[in-house]
Amino acid sequence: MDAAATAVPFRFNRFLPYWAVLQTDLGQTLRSWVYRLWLIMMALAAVGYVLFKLGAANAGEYQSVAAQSDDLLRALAIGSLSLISLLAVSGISSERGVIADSVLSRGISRYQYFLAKWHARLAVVLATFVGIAAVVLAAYATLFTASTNGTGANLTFGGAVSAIVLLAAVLGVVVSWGVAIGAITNGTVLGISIFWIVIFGGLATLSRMPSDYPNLKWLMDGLRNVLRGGITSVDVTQFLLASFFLASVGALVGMGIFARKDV
Amino acid sequence: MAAAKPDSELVVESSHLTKIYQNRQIALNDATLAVEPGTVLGLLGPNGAGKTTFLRLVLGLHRPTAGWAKVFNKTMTPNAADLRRRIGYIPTNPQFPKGMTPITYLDYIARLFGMPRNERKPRLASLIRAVDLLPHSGESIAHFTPGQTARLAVAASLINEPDLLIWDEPTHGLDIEARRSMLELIKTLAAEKTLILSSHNLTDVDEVCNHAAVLNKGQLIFQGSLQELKGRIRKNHYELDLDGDQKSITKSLGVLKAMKEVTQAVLRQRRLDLKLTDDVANTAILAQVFQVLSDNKVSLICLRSVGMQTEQAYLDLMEQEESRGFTRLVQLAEAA
Repeated sequence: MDAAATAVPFRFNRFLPYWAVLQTDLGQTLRSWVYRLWLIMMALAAVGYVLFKLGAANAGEYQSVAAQSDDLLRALAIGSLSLISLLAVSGISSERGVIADSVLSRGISRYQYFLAKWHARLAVVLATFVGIAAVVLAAYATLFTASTNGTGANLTFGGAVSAIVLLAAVLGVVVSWGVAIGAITNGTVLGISIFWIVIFGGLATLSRMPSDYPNLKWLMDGLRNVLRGGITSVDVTQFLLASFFLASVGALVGMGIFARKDV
Repeated sequence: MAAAKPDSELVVESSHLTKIYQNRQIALNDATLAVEPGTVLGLLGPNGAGKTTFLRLVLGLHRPTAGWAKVFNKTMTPNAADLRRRIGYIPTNPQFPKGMTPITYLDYIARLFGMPRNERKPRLASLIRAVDLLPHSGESIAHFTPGQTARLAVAASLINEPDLLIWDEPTHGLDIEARRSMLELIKTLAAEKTLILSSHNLTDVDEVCNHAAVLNKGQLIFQGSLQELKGRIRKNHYELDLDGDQKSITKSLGVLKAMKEVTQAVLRQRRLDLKLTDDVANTAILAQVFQVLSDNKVSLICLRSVGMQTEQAYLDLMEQEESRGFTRLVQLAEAA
């Protein structure tokens, strides 16, 4: 090996390390088997359910599109939780050790590393869920409106957008806490165990809030109504703000502890 | 290294640096060390001595339980990215993210240092050429041999033009050729950079380092120049490989044992282990030894000075440390 090349005075770009980790993590997440499994599972569930309901509609068993899409969206969101939790928690915890050494020993702060991982996992999960949910609702609106004497009329565009945005907000909270817990714990398995304890604990706490307070139970119970467009912009805004607050708290807790933790 | 040099001269400085893992394991205990610019420091110690812990504390990957570590006169913390921009690090067994080629990996590392495209692309190309990875630049690094992996790790540690290099076991797992190449590179880099090398291979340390720090069970038991370390070793200890009739060799041994200047004479097959007194000039005693061998028609094949290598000095140091650990503690308590 020869000696290194001559010294060059560098102008360092402070945000480049963040972008480097973000881009690399996006690529690695999209190539991971967990992500591919989640994508296949959601696609199969959606296609299978739509075809089943289409067959049932052709056989004369009509159900409102809002009711059908409500069932499917709920199934997609809740059914995805296990794989989303794995994707979120493993974001940082799976890299603990030697690979983290090779990244965190360079010119990147813990804050930048955490933010890049958090944003990458959020982007992948939310973009994928929103994309599939939008395709599913568009398919419902198209197929059932045309084939079932207008029973699809109860699915409004505004309601569909609101439902997708609200469910994405819930997943955003889940991903944020998942990444945070993965950054705090020393292993993925331990992280996932703690994640579920936090999620169930959080749900139990939220269920004890006043009934007019926007929470997950309120959303799930009223999703059919949301799809019909029966939700006000104030309710949507309140729910989004609450979700943003919970996600931010999770991220701040995770980032604060990770910044002071041994890796 | 120095005990009381002005701060501005120090590249790495630690004071009472202590790391206790989860209140169960004392990995590093009260390590106070200073590294001046241009030093090539060999960090020595047995497995579990605290070498890697020390390096990780200096890099900010771990936080000290007590004490502090400064790099370029600033306290190192997990978020001190600006300090790490001046450091090139190679971990013990470098591992790389999956699905990358040397070009994409070095580009990634350069971006982690915040190097803009116009500076990082030419730099990584030069480094790939310098470490002889040009023919493999398009291959996946997942399938690299240990030698290729080590060379890529070297390139990654140099991509930011660091002032300080911290290499943890750089020759670990390398074949003879790759090891030689690595040592030559270290010698070249030593002319313009400060290096801290952790190694088990004392021959390597002897060859490339000018300073040494010895850790044992988390405690820094020696720091100073390599000459100072060697100065602590036993002197006047020789090994003589002999040739001749076994009876004559045994007879010579009897004569040598009778000499009062010879404190120990042990024969193992045809190898004579000889320790001489420090009271008389060793040349005079050796002249007498050669005369005895000549008188008995014994030929000398080889004469070696035992313990003039760093390895022997290190082993002696460890031996002394084992025997006086408690005594030192008592002395410290008394001094306090």
